[in-house]
Amino acid sequence: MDVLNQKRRQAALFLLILFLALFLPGRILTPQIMNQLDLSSGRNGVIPKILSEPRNSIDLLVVGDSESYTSIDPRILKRDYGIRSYAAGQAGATIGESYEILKKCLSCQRPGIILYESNSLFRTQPDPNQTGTALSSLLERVFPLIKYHSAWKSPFIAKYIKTYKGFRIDTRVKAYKGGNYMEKGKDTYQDAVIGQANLYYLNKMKTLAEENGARFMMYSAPSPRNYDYSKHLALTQLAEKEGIEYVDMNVHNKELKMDWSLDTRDRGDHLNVYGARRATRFMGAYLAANGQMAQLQARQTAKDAVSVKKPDRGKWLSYEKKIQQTLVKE
Amino acid sequence: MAYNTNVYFLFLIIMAFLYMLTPKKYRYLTLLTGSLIFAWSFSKILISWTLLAGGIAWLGGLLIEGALAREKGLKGEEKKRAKRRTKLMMLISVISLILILAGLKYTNFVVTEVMKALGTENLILSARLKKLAGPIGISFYTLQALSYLLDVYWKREKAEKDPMKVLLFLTFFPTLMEGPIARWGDVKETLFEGNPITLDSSSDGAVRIGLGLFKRMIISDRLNVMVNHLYDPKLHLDGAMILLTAVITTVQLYMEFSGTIDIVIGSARIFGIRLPENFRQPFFAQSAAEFWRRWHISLGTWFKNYIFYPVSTSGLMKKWGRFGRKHCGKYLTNLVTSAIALFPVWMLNGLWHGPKWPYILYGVYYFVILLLEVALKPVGEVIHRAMGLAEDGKALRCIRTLRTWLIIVFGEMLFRADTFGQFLSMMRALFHFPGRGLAFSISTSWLGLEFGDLLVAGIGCVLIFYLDYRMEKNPQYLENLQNQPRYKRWSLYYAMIFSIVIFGAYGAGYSPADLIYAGF
Repeated sequence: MDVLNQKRRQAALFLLILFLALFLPGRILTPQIMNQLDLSSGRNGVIPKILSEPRNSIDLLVVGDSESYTSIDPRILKRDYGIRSYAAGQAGATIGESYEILKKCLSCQRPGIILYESNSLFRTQPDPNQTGTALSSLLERVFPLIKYHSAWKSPFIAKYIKTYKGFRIDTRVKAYKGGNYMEKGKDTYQDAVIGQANLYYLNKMKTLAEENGARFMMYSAPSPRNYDYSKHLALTQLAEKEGIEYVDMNVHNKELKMDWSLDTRDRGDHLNVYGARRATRFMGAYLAANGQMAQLQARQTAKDAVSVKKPDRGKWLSYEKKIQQTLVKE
Repeated sequence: MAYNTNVYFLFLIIMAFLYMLTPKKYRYLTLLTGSLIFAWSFSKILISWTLLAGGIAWLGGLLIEGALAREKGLKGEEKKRAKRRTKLMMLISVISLILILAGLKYTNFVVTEVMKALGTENLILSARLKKLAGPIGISFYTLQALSYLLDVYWKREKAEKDPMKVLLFLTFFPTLMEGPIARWGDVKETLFEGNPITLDSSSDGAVRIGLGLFKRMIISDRLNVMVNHLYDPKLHLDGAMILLTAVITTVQLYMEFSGTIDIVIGSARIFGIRLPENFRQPFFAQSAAEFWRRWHISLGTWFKNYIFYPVSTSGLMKKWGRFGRKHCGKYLTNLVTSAIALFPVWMLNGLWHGPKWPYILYGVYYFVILLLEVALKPVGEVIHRAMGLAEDGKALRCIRTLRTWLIIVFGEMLFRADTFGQFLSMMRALFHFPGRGLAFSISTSWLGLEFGDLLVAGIGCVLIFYLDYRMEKNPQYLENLQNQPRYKRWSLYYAMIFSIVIFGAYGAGYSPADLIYAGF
């Protein structure tokens, strides 16, 4: 009996230590502290970074997966239109994660336009009503260590990759040589299906945006690896059905003047800064033509515009210089 | 509620509590109820097929045993008639089970292939056939049911009178999706005993589950991202990358399957139930034949016991043996005997995995390899002697191990290909050399994983292969950990738990590897 009691005590002690070791780090390492300790690089860093932006300092917010933060360059929107934007995309994000990011953003920002990049609509999204998803959420709430468990990757994430307001400044060039990827009948993703859980979150994002007085728009960044004609049709139909404004840049390659030998960093998966410049200008022109830029500009107070504009000017010039130098070299 | 989900572990904990609350005598009924709920969560109405198979196995067993009992005391012609009756009982039961399996699993494939061959495609029929689906675990529990019936017929086991026990044997929830394919004799001692859940059984089971989660979440789920990336139809890989893909695919499959089996065995141990092992350090094998004695052991054992031995010891084969030794010599006789016994084993092995040409060819591939191993053995011995290589020497062991790895890796390429065409195009690309306009790079962006992930997966593989090495030296290595001083054990347990929590490839950005064998 003594042996049994001793074993029970040991088991209880083991579980108590385990509980504390899982519970305490999550209480100590809050997102803000993780940001300060530089433990929130990569996909973990999106929420802490956007929470550290000044309140109400974002006019246009971009959400989605890596296609979003490599396609809309806030510096170009700033320079050309004076619009303050932020690319709050997350690598490999599901649409549910994008929704969570949007919710956090809207707790401290009041953007006029929310641009959602559509690639994550084709990513598997766990059903939020399933027991497994609810259980995961519960565990993440009790043990935040589980939620931020990937923080260990921070030291391995290439520190040379610079970002500006969430946008990834990547000057690497690896050409895409596959030809016209939007040609009808030559689809790669004929079986691509948008799941019900994805639709659920898309509608939640739209509703959330509207409740916060923002216009919700969907766009597809140019990407031969991720898009084809079938996806274009699926997204167009979806946008019509759900009443969401949709811009597919993949069908506007000519207007964008895409040069796939220069504009991608990884053979057509993501855009580099050159590709992003074309995509952002296109999006800027589109929004301006629809009068939405003017609305955003009107929202800004003069004070905000000046305070943000000044420090950004120097960064912008060095960025432009870097691009020009690279282009000359090539 | 698959074994790699948090819901499964919640279910396991609930089951453990209910099991403890049930009186010892009825605990097997609690396990059966849980198993049926588990099966229903996947199969829904299709569970009726599972219940039917359970009924056939139970009734078939009793009828066969009854017929066997009636044989006793009979002589001459009467005994022969009685034996024929017993055989008929056995055949009816066995064929019924096979028909259900074949009907649900292979009808679509056979009809589609026949329609293709005849050039007549019927879209309505195709659509209807596509809807034909079997309940979860049908391939696993059917083999268990067949082994039970044949063991009763061969008087290795007694028929069970309680239908609930037979049904539990077939549907026990930890084994339902991926095996191991247990025989009645493997589990009868512990499955129905209602052994109490003790601290020892819980920690024993939890350690094994932890090991399984380590293999799955740190290695397999991480490599799964890479495998999915490398199998992208838009990537055009060259030879080196194809080879790398094949190696990674093999490692990922091993970690996925053996990790799941660890979870299964660990879950059963919590209830004090001992299941047969399914893996025994397969990458230490020195031949393809030995590999199959170490990989998916329960399937290999099933085919050995119920196909290979019955075929190779049949009357016809005995006649051939006598004739062959007289007229063809020992070597050729053995070779032909092996060919005849191995062919059905490997054809059925391929087919068991599913109605797909790559699986069938996977079976043919191993049939040819194993036959070559038998055929070329004398030639190999002559070459070894000529080169002065000792049969037990380290050099020859290394060569054999490397050769076996190559055989395994090529086999897995075939196994994981969606179509035979995809396998062929991969084989063609294998001979494309880097620098000829095709993609070759070991950069992380091409592998689909970040450097940190690659590092963790690499360290995880080293640790697991080190454990395999220690297990190869001492099969009791893992069990002996329980006898280590407390500080050592606890340190190890905490290290394992925290490595899974922190380095596990779960959450955003990862896609957990499917339970590949559950699809069979």
